[in-house]
Amino acid sequence: MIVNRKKLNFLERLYVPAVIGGFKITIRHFFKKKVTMQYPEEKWVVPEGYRGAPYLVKDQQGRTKCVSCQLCEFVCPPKAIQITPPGPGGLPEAGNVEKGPREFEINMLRCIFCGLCQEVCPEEAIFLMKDYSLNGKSREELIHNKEKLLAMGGVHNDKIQKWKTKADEARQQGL
Amino acid sequence: MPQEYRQILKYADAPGYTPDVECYLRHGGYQILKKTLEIEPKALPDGKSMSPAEQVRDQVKLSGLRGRGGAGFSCGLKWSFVDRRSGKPIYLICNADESEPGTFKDKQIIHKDPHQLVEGMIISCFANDVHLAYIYIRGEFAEGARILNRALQEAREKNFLGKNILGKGYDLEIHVHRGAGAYICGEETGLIESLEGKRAYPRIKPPYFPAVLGLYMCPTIVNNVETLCAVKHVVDLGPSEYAKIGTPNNTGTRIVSLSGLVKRPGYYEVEVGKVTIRELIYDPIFGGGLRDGRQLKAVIPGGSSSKILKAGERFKLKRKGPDGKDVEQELDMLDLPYDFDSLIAAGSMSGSGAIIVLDDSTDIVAALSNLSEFYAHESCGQCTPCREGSLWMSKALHRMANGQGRKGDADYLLKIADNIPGGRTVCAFGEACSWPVQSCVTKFKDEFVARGTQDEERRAAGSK
Amino acid sequence: MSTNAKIETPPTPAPVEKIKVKVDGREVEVPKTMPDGVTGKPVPTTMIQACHAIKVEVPHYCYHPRLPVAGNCRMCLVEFGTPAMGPDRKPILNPDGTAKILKSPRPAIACATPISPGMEIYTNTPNVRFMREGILEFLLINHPLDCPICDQAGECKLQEYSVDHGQTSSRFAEIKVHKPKRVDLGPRIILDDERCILCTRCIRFTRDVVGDDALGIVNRGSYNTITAYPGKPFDNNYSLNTVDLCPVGALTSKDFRFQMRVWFLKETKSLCTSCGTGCNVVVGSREDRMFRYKPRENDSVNATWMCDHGRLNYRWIHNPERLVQVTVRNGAAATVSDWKSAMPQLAARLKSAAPGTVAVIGSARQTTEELFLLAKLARHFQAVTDSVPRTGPADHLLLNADRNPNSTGAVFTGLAATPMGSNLGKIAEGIRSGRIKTLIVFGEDVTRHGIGADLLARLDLLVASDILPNATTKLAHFVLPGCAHVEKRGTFVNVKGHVQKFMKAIEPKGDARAEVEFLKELLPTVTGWTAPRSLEGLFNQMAGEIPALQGVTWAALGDTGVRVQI
Repeated sequence: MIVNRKKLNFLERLYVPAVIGGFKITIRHFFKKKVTMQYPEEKWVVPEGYRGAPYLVKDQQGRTKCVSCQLCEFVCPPKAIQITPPGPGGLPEAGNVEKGPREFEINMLRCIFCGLCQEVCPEEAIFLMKDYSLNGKSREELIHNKEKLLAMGGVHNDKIQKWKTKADEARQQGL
Repeated sequence: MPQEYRQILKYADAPGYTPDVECYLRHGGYQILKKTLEIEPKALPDGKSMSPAEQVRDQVKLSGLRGRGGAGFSCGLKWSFVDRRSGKPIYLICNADESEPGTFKDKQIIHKDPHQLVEGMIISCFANDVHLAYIYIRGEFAEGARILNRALQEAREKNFLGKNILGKGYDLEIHVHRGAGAYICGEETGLIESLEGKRAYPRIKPPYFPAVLGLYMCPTIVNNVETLCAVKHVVDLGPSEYAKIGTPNNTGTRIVSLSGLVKRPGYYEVEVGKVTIRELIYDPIFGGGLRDGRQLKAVIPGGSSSKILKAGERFKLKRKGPDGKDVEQELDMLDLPYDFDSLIAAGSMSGSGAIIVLDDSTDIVAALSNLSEFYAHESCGQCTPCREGSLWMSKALHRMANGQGRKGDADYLLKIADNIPGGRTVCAFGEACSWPVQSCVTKFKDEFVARGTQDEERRAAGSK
Repeated sequence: MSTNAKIETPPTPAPVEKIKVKVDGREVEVPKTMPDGVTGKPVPTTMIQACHAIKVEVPHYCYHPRLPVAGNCRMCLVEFGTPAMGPDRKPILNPDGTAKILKSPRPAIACATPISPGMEIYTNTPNVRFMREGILEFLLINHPLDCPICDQAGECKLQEYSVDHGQTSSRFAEIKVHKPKRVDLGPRIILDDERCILCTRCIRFTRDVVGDDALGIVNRGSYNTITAYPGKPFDNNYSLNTVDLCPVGALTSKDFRFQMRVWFLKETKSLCTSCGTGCNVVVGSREDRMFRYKPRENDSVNATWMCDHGRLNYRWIHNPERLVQVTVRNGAAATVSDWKSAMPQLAARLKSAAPGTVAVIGSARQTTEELFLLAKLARHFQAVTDSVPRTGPADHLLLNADRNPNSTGAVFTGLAATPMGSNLGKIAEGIRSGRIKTLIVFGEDVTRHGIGADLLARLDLLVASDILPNATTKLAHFVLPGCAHVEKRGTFVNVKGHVQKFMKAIEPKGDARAEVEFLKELLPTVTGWTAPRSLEGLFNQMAGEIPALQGVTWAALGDTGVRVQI
């Protein structure tokens, strides 16, 4: 394709009007509100619903909410999640839930923050939190294990505590 | 003028009548058996001959005797289905597992006149070439089982039972088997399973029709206590005479168990179809009316599993007029003749002959909750709709009866109940547990809705 | 052995009368009777079989083609109609000449209702769908819905039918019935009574197929609970089949429990190697780790079952002790080598061995192809050969007394002596007398079969290939790490002469290689004979050379194998 350049007239060839125009825009910004942030001294407060790093949470009773159903592992597009199921014995701390993850690793070098893991979780055990600043000195450091994920996630206050309700109902029925 | 017609219970309540064999013999007992065993083969016009057993079967068929257990199926027809060519033994079982709430007729026969049952059974066994029969009696009838065992022992001693009965070359043994207390054992295939020593799970039909594959996979006849007693009277009177009792297609007598809120609850033997429900409830010789100042609310006409009839309901029935033509007649529920066909035409059934009367002091929600609880407890749990549905309905009704109702609970209950009957279940228990709920909730819907609304409003006020 | 062996086909049953029925408007012709799943006796064909014949799926829980019919789940309810009969016992016809169909007012369970000529079955009417939804709702109201922790999730019929016939929300407003969870039924099975839908498949299987009436139901109605007899564990050798049969997650295997979600498992068609029956299995594996065996249907071998003994015999595959390196020993010093440098050395040593001074012991646990190549090698040296017999108690169903999966193959290839193991003594004697100087051992520890370490020490050359280390591999001059059956392809011939193939599920560990591969590398240099490159080609070549396998081809084996005469 041939583009025919328009010939510049004299005024345009002087460049001065264009330069003045540019200065005008620049000077106008001297009097506007600053948008730049002095990171890391200043921290950006992210809006609600922001999809940051995924973490695991515990329930009010202190149990890891994850039951190792491995749906997040299945759905994770970059295959960042790897869960080790508990094996035949289950985990002693799981109580009437019977099952929990023996190990839960999220490779943050792979994670694309899509939030599918949170969406698919049937137990509301994994949440994308407002954490966007992830760094480490080695690759290993950025593979978050269960301990780290739980420490970062903390306790989630559920309104419906389905496993506790189940246990209470069963107890009432003499089991 | 309505009156009792005592045939089966003729002597039962007579002063001085005892259940022992001597007393029974004094009152003409075992004469019909003798008569039966003396029947000669009859030559037929086509040159063939009719065996004595066939003649008795023919008599029962001609008499129009219908089963008294609940379904009202023709006894003669039932016997004709039996597979007699398989070469396997044929068994007869007397179903004495009388567990339908409201029913207490078989108990009277067993307690007061056990030999009549034994004689009826021997005649029925003879008619069907049976050499081993059982009386399956419900577990709670411990006394009844004791009486029957004694009666059987007496019959054996007199050679009415055992080898070569009365020297006529016919062998028969009868055993009493006590159930362990389950309603479902009254269902004939459930009863057979239980008798085989298994869990009383009714069998699927097809292929397990008792007449072909019954007890121990042999042809089996299961008859109610009252039916077997009636067989004796059929043979005694002859089919045409017997058919004159009662009304056409509803022949013979029935023992009605009347209970509920009437002045004179009890059992009354009446000619089938000759007495109306109104007479049974209000006539001084039967129920004697409701308690003073009370209004009739509803009647459960045939044991707790039959559909309830609401006071004031009217039905259009086809009846034979005096000129023999069918006449359509609109009848009040109370004016229905108490027989098999009229109640079926009214959408219910006469079932086991148990009438339960409810007056206006009855809380229909609580009453239905009570009934439902029984069915949830008695469901055997074999097939899904009945197992889950019966408990679901019971839980919902229990919740309603305890002030936790919701406005939509009437429809909720109907939706559950609609998913149980109509061939979805293995046996008729599915119908038995859902019909009361379907009929009660439909006919008393305003009460159910009002209760739910009231509960909802109270809860809303309480939470403010 | 005859030179022209014939491939046996199952005896064709006498022709059965066929009847025509219509399923959802499509006509299908089915036999009037079909063999019963348990006894094999002809029984009237049922509606569900007619539907399956035309590939119409009728949802069901309690029905299983290999079990007696119970008819209790009521999921397979369908509507049907039969031709209307006039008073003259002849069908009434519609104006257009077709038979008038009388639709039954009541539905019927497809699993138990026999078909009759001209019957029409409707599996997808609004009423049928309504009934299915109702039944499914009933099954779900007291189900704990704990799919996230249930091992059955992913292969659960309740989940599958919920997708097809379920409702989006529950209208159940009451409290669920709770039942015992984590019930220890026996050494291999855990029962979760809450999940149970009481289809009684497990009860019928163990009573009618195994003959061990071990399970039953207690309580009534919705409180019904499956249980074993008090104090008597459910421990027969077929108990784990109930886990496969269970349509929901009520019965779970202690071995597989909480090990891996089933949707991650890659399924590979394979064979069980624990006895001479050769049950067809599916290997479940993920990322080169094997998790379980499940039986695969093959009517001429194992129906749909397998024994617990075989099912649980797979742990050795992931034994950390596995031989994963090629080792070359010179005197006392053993050095880790690799295939590239070890194979020419081995070939050179073997080439210098004189005919008559060599013995070859192959294992009847190896594939027929491996044994065939070993036999080629043996024939070159005119070697004495044998295999090791292995026996154990047999049972009435599947477990065979011959615990080698390929004894017949070892006989076919000529590697095993008759009777198997009778040459082992001769080999020991040959070594003692100094006549045998080279011993090639595949897959066996010969020190446990009469050729002790003292004898092995006298050999000039001991070549051992195995999967796990043992006393023989410890003394071998060349240790060649081999593969477990799940790591390679091949064929086995079972005790009845059923030739079956199995597929590769996972990659071998470390340097381990399929035996066929390195034998094929060795043979041209040592014997001058070159094997076909592909395994398919090798099998076909072998079938051509072994009289018993005449006419059999790899392709013809299919998934369920071919029966040959032995």
